[in-house]
Amino acid sequence: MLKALIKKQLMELYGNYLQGKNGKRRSRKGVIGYAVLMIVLMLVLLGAFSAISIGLGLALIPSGNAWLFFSILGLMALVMGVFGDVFSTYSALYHAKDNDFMLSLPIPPSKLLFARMVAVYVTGLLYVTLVFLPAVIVYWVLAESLTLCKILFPVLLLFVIAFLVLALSCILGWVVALISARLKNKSYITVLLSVVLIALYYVVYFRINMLLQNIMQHLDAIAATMQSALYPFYQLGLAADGNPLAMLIFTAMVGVLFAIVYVVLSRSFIRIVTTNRSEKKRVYKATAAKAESVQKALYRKEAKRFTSSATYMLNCGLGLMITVVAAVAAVIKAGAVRDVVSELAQNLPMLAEILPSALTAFMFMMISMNTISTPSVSLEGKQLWILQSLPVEPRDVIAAKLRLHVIVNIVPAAVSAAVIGIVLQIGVIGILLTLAAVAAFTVFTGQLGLMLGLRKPHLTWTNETVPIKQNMNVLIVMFGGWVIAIAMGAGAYLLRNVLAGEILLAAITLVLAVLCLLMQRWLRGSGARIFAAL
Amino acid sequence: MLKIEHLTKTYGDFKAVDDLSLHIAPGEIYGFIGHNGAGKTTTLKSVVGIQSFDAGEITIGGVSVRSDPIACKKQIAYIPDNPDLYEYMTGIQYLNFVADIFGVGAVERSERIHTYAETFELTADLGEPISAYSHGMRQKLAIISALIHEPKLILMDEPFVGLDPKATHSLKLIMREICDQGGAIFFSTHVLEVAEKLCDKVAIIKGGRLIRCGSMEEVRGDESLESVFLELEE
Repeated sequence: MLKALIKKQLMELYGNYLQGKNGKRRSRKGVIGYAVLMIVLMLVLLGAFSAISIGLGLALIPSGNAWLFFSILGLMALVMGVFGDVFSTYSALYHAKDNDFMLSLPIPPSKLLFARMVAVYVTGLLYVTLVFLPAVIVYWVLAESLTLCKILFPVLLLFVIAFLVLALSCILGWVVALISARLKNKSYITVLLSVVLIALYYVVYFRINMLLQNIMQHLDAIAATMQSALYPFYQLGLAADGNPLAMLIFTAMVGVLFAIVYVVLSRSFIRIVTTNRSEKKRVYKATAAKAESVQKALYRKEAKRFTSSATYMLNCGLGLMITVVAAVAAVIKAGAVRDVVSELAQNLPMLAEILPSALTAFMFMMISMNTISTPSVSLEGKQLWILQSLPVEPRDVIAAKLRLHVIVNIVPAAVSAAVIGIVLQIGVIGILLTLAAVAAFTVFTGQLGLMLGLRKPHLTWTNETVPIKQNMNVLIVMFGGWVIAIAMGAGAYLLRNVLAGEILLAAITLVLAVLCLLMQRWLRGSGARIFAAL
Repeated sequence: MLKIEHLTKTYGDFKAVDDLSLHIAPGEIYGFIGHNGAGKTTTLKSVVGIQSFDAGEITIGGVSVRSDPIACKKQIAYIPDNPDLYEYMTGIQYLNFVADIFGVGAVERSERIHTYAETFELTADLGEPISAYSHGMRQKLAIISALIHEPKLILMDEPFVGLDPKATHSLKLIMREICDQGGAIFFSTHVLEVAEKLCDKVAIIKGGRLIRCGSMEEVRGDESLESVFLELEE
């Protein structure tokens, strides 16, 4: 039974990578393409964490502080793992669509929980590996002498840390589930909590560089902190450095924590997943109805879909928050920003020329993170019949999805671009060109997402995280947007002596506008036909 | 009202519907019966325009489903076998959404929502999110949404599944009332007693082919519909 449950869980979480349109198996080429893309993505992330590991490793390992090296990176791996895992834990463990069916079967909750935990564990292990594996390799290269324990223990610790990630994710996921079960506006509260978590994460992340500098200066004090306040990570560090007793202690600590979490969750699992709501039933009282146009009704439907799902808002609207924060930060730190620009301008006389392009590139990156339109077709899921059976033109449905993408994106992006432009003193023309490029790029990403969503829809999901988070189309739009942004920034820099920044921006806007027209034509024609036939 | 001529639909090598022809006139309640996988849902979906078909023609009020699907959809309503509705909307939001799509005015929709929600005892729950609805409540909401624009033709796939006895009775009365006023209803069912009592005409489909159709009297003769159906299925 357990094997069947685990297999089903893994199929649900990762099977969509092997599935194409309408749940049919993807072609061999498609699978290979996906695999290559994932590997490239992993390598990029591994590269980023390798840089941190090399920097820290060079400072700590030769001086005999390998344990501190592992303690710090173990902590980072844990933060990365828990951060990456907590919301999928909530969805996979407590909020799965097949809860009713599963609970109706003669399956002990402990086994059901265990099977779901296995899938979460695999995801957590992936996150931990991204951070910890480069550290292990750096350690093997820089360590003076390697014993069997020093080779074996760091690798084993990957799996142990992943258990710690699982245990903490389960606890946090449990908290989210408990709060969620008692809330009316769940999606907004979840988004708020998530934003706080993300903000904390970034604060820690940005301070880590300062911490790394401080580590070098205050090694003794930090080591003492690790040994007292962060004792488990002290043991983790020692264990990774080949200490068998520490390995035993750390593994035991994680094992006990996991066992406690597992037992507690097993006992409360049914109660958590069957608690629908505790709020009072809202008895409907008729109010005056208001008729709206078809286009407005479709737009409101899309808006309702977006705002009703924390997963959707968080994963496809994260750039909005960063955009706003960046604008606020630019205003607050206007003086410091101008000082940095002045300093840079001394070494780079053409800086003023490329500033509008640099700002536009930054805005492009932020907009690329808001992939609202991309999963919108797949999110119709089993309710697709409604739009298909109603007398609406498929092109109106597509237009409504695009409209939501543009409206949600363009206001914060335009305000942010204008504010940062003023702070950077790029001039009225620079700001206007940036705004035009931002507007064109917003429409472009929305249309691109819809095109991909129509060509490669995934309508047979049981958990909405599948079309939102495990959707290759989302990755393509996001990373494709980043590539365009980087190419534009690099182009502006390399061509600074040949082409005026304003001309480059105008040219890019023009190209984007032409692409938008072509894609709009496709969406209204072929796209609409594809939607009607889904 | 509804003309299905030589409808054929295949999935790969499998013929789900094979050269099926049916005519449904205004005022008729037309029952569609057959075993699981016989092709009932495929036929209904083809009429509604949510599924393409390989050959044949379907017209609603003289308008081809293929050439002008929107004009056809404006005249009809569809209730699927499994009412998967927008769970992120409340019942009233869903009804207003459907009313907006059909261009039903504010006064008319208020009256109809009030009337049908009272009939199906759903008024108090209209402010609740659909995700909190039971299967029966979703079915009632799907029925109300189908009636909100006063369609000329209603297509129903197993409409009585999940309904309580009172709602079942109310739906039967509404179906008769619609047809008495010149509308038409084409619905599939496995409940042969209901079909026998409610339908003016009946069609029996087997393996995608229409094996018998006509008025209830013509189809069953002196036997019960169940006996005829079982004989034909053998």
